[in-house]
Amino acid sequence: MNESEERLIQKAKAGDKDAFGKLVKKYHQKMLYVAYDLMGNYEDAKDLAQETFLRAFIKLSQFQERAQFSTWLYRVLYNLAIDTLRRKKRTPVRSLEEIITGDLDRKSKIPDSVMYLPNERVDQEELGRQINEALDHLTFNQRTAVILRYYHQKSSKEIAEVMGCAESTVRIHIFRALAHMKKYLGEYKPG
Amino acid sequence: MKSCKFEKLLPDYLQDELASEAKRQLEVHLETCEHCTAKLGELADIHQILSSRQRQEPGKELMRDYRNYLRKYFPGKLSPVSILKRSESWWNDVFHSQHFTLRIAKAVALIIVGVFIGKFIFVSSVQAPRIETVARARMPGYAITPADLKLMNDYFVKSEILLLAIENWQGDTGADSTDLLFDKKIAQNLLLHSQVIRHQATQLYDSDLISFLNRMELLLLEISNVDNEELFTAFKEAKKIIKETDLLQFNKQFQNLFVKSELNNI
Repeated sequence: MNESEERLIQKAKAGDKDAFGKLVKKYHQKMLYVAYDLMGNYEDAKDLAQETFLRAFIKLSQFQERAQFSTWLYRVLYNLAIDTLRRKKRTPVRSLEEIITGDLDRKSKIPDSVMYLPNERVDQEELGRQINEALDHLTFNQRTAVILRYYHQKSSKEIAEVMGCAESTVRIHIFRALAHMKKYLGEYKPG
Repeated sequence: MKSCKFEKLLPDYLQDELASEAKRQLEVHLETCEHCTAKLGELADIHQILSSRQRQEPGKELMRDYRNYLRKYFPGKLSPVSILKRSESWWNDVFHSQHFTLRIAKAVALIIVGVFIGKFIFVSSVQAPRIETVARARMPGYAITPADLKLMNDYFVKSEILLLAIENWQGDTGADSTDLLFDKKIAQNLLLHSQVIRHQATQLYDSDLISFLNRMELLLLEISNVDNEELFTAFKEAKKIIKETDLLQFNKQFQNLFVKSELNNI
């Protein structure tokens, strides 16, 4: 953590909103992006990122300087995202058959648009849509781990701090997530 | 399905995240394990697809709303150096444009704005109504009307009722849902007034008071915007916030101050 950031945090902890405002300025874009990656749309992402900063200001006394401030912010956002999703009950409803059969052949659940991808070049927008769709089929923890790793360049250790779990658990989340995504994006060959 | 204890390390290997010893061991293992070699190939494809994804950018309007909202709570004043830098670049933009007519137009616009601001300051300094000041000794620069004072006092009294109600709430799920709904209404009502109160508070330049009002507003938002089914969780969270931020104590402190000010004023 650089010195000026440390000083700003100390001031903010003492109730200086201007100091916290400078931290907000530094991280607001990053938080909006991670919120978007988790929620899948900017409207929800905006609400989530806003709430993250408000909550972070209230809970700032709990922040201990041995962690990075940005990682701590990610953690606040992650916890709020869980609450938000719980409220929205956004998790797709699973059919009785799926629940009974457990590890059902996922191909039967894959929408046609994802199943029959053209082998030729898929443009960025389409690829982005397909990746988002594949991400939507992961559990929230798997999605978070993948997003933090691939889009926010966080190490397993940092992701573990954000999610409040062991590094080995993060590795399992990422491994399973990639394996699931392979089933969804399997037809698409990169390059 | 066959699995191997090394396969969980493959994503880290692809990201070059493994420590050198673990990486060496895995590479030795890959020479003999067909399962892991095949998995590595599959994961490498996904790894590449994920890495090539470009995030859609947010709309300008959304970005503006987002920043404005955050600025409202956390102004984050610019440092003198950045103000200087900004004015320098603005000055360059205005007076070093390539087109002469554009430079003239900008200069004229600047003069008009200057005249307008000057006139506004002059008129407001002459015509500004005399504001009755109270509690000046307690807070230098304090200027607020008795009506404002009454409004603030009212806010603090109602806030205290709400804070006490939440603090004393025992957390029973079923029996007190009517009380929670009633408290939610109080919170919504207070939230309606909080903008006005904040405006008054900024006139006092008292950072403690503004900080208290901000915390209070966050608490009110927590309760007001929640669905009725989620009230229980929201109140639990609110109770925690009150405890952690000493809101009741601050409320009492400011309430005492305003009651005294109001009495002195009478």
